[in-house]
Amino acid sequence: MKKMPRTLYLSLFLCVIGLIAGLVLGGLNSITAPIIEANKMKEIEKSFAELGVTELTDVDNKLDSVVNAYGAKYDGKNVYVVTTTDSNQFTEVQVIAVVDASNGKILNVKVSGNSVITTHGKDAEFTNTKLGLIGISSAEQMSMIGGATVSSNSVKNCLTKVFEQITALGVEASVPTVAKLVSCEQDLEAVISGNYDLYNAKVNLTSANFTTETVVNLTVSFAGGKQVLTCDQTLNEEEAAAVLKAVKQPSTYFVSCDVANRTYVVDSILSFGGTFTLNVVLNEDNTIASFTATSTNSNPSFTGHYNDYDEQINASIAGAAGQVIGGDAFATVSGATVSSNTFKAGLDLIAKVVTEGGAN
Amino acid sequence: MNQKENLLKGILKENPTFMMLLGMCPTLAVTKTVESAIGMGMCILFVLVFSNLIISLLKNIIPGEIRIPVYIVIIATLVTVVEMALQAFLPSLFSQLGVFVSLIVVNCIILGRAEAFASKNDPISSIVDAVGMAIGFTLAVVLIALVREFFGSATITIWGSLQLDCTSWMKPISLFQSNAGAFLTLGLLIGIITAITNVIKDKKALKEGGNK
Repeated sequence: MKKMPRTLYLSLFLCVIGLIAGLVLGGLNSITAPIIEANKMKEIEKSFAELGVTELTDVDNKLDSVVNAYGAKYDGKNVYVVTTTDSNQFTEVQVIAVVDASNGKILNVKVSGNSVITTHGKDAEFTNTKLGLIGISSAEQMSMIGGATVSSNSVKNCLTKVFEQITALGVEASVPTVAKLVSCEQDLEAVISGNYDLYNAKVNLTSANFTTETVVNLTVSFAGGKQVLTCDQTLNEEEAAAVLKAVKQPSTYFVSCDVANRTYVVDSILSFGGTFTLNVVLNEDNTIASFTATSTNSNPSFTGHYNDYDEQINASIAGAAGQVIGGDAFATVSGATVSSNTFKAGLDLIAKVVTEGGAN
Repeated sequence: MNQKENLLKGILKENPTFMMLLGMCPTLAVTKTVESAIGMGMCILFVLVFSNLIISLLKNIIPGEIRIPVYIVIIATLVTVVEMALQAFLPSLFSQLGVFVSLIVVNCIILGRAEAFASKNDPISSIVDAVGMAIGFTLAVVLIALVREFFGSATITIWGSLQLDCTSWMKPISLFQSNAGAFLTLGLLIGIITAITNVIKDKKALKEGGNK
């Protein structure tokens, strides 16, 4: 029998050694691969911990436009967790959305940015807030934030990618039941000038009830020590929530009061310096016993336009003590009239509640 | 050479790190913490023992012309086994050791022992040699890591539970945690060990001279 050439023998030997090594590694891989995958998912699950999702699994058909997409459980429901980003010259926004696998609605969401998102508010309006994104099943249902369109657009772009991914995963979005807000007009000047009867809000609304854009007129009155918002349309719960969300946007104030302790709180004043809560305690003669303005933002600055503006605003706040309740109690700070005017309007509003409905 | 000498030579006389200066890449890279040094030592122990054993068993059938590629295939397979096992069962250690687990494939200690010892000796001697060399390597990297972690962070932590915290009375010297610190520590320790070895050798020579 002819002897096998040496080169062929050596090649075959190497092949056999390689084959044995491959078999060993293949066998081991079949044992460790699921464990490694589970470890990876646990790590990702940790990063999503604050969203409350568990039992993460990978999905195959990830779109290029999304960073990551996973199947998961949320509150006992099957969900998809989709991570997307959008950037522009100001910031990069990241949205992690937990979407119901049965109807495509957002169940939970985290919006974050790597720097200041809004140019006006000095603080990211969307950062770590949900701002009405819960329950929507299309990016079009998101309410844009006036005056900070950069971040609004970024969040909307992210949501568009999220819903594209959800559609690609075969989820049929349910018919939107959340009212879509088209626009909201409010007569801020009327409030500032003290002509409260003209303080009406008009909200354009479309929803399952209103198939075309419908103008909803809102009127503010005062009774029982509180503001009362009256609407000229019958609204369901979701529509009412949508309308409230719209009117709670910039320059809308809501007063709550503890009449017994003569404490009045004007909530959610949005101005250039961000969102503020005014807390006013009155003396028996309706003079201001104490007045504080608390920023609900992480950055407590009133405005970034003028270096000494904070001091001037603080001086005006301090100077209000002892004055009769009303906008005049707050000395206007020139150069940043919006903050001044919002504070003055807030105090005027308390005066209105005290005189018109506070006694009740 | 008996098995005791065979075992001890790797730890002392032929210590791969301090005496033969082999495997310098992981020595410098994974000695920031004692924990990762022990982890790397255990990986080397596994790969070295099994590569020596397999090569020793196959030494008569591996053709001489292709022995190095065959050794590398065997070593690479064992390293991949370690990598997979770490990834699956000790993921935190795997992320600490990073790419240096894969680089065990080209570690001179492993290939050196395969070529210099396992390919010429019986399986038992090869295993003893591997254990000695691996212990020698592990002791060396742990010693370097002890110095670097202690002076570099003023703490020594091993798997979270064993912790020595000296931050109350000493300030960490960040140089020891840097790459330059790794070279300096290694150099200093080699210097100290060489000095001690020379003193012992001199004493031994004097004693032998006196006896004559």
